[in-house]
Amino acid sequence: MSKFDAENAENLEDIEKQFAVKAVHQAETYWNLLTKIKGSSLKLTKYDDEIYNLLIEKFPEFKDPNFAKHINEDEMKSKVGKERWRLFCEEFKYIEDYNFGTLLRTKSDTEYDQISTIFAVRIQFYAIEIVRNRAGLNDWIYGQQSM
Amino acid sequence: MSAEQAPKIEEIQEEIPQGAKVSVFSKNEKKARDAIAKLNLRKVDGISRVTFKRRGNQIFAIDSPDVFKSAAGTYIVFGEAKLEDLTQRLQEAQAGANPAGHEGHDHEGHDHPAPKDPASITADLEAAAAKGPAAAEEDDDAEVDETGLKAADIELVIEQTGASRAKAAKALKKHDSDIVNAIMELSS
Repeated sequence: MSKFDAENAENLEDIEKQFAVKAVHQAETYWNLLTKIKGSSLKLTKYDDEIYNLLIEKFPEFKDPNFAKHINEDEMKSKVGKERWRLFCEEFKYIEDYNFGTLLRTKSDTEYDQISTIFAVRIQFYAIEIVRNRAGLNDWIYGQQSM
Repeated sequence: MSAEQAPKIEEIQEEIPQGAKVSVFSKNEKKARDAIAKLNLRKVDGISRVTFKRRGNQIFAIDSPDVFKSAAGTYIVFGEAKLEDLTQRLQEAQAGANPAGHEGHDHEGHDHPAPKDPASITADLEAAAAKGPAAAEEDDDAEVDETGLKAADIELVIEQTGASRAKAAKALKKHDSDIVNAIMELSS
C-alpha cells in the first residue's frame, strides 16, 4: 500500500502562509522552552560552538556579551552590516533553515513585543541567542509565563 | 505472437476496472489506457486527490484519480482535471469555510454511489485518519534508533510536547538535534 498522503499533500495555500506562521511558532516555541529550562543550560543546535566561534571571529564585539544584550537594528541592517552578516550566514548553509526568516528580540531583557522584535534570519538568531544564553542573559525568562 | 499476448492484456485490464466504474471513456482515452495497461503498472491505492501547480497560484486538481506507478517510479494519473484558483480558495478559507472538510464531503457525496470496493474504503479510512486531530502516524511506536541523540534532548522534547519517546527521537533526528525545530514539528 502506498503511503501517499493526499490529505496533507494538497495544502498548498498553507505552505505559502507557513512563512509567517512558522516564524511566530518558532518564537513561541523558543520562548516557552526558555521558561522551562535556563538559557545557560540550553543548547540550540549541534553546531552551537561553530556558530559562536565564527561569530567571535567575524564580529569580535560580541566577545562582550553586553553587545548581544541590545542589538542595534540599524547597524545590523545597514549596508555594511548586511554584507558582514550575509558572509557570516553563508558559512552555515548546512544548517536546517539557516536563512529562514526568524523573529529576534533586540533586547535580551524584554520578551517578544511589538517594539523590540525584529526580523532576522535563523543563523543570526542562533548566533545572538547563543551569546545571550551562554552569558546567562536569558536566564530571567526561566519560570516566566509561557506564551 | 499476438495470439500469445492477447490473453495477457486482458488479464491486466481486469485489474483496472475501478477506473471504469462511473465514467465512459472517450475512444482516445480508452486507447491510451489500454496502451498504458501493457506497461506493467501497479495501481496505487489511497489517493483521493492529485494537484498540479501552475504559475499564478492556479492548480489543476483531480479528485478521485486513478493512479498507476511504473517500475521506474513514474506516476500516471487518470481523471478529470479541474482548474482551481488558489487565491480564490484562500479567500474562501479566510471567510471561515474549511476547504479540507468541504472537499472531503464532496468526495464522499458524489463519487461512490455503488457499494464500496475495498480500495475506496481504504482511501476513506486514510482520509478520515489524516483529518482527525490525533492522526496516528505510521510506525508511531516503532523503536527509533537514538544513536547520535542526547538523552537530555529527547527528554526535553518529550516534556515540552508530550510526544512519545519514539516520536521525539524521530523529530530530533530529522532536525539534526535542533530542539526548537523538533518541538515545533511535534506541536504544530
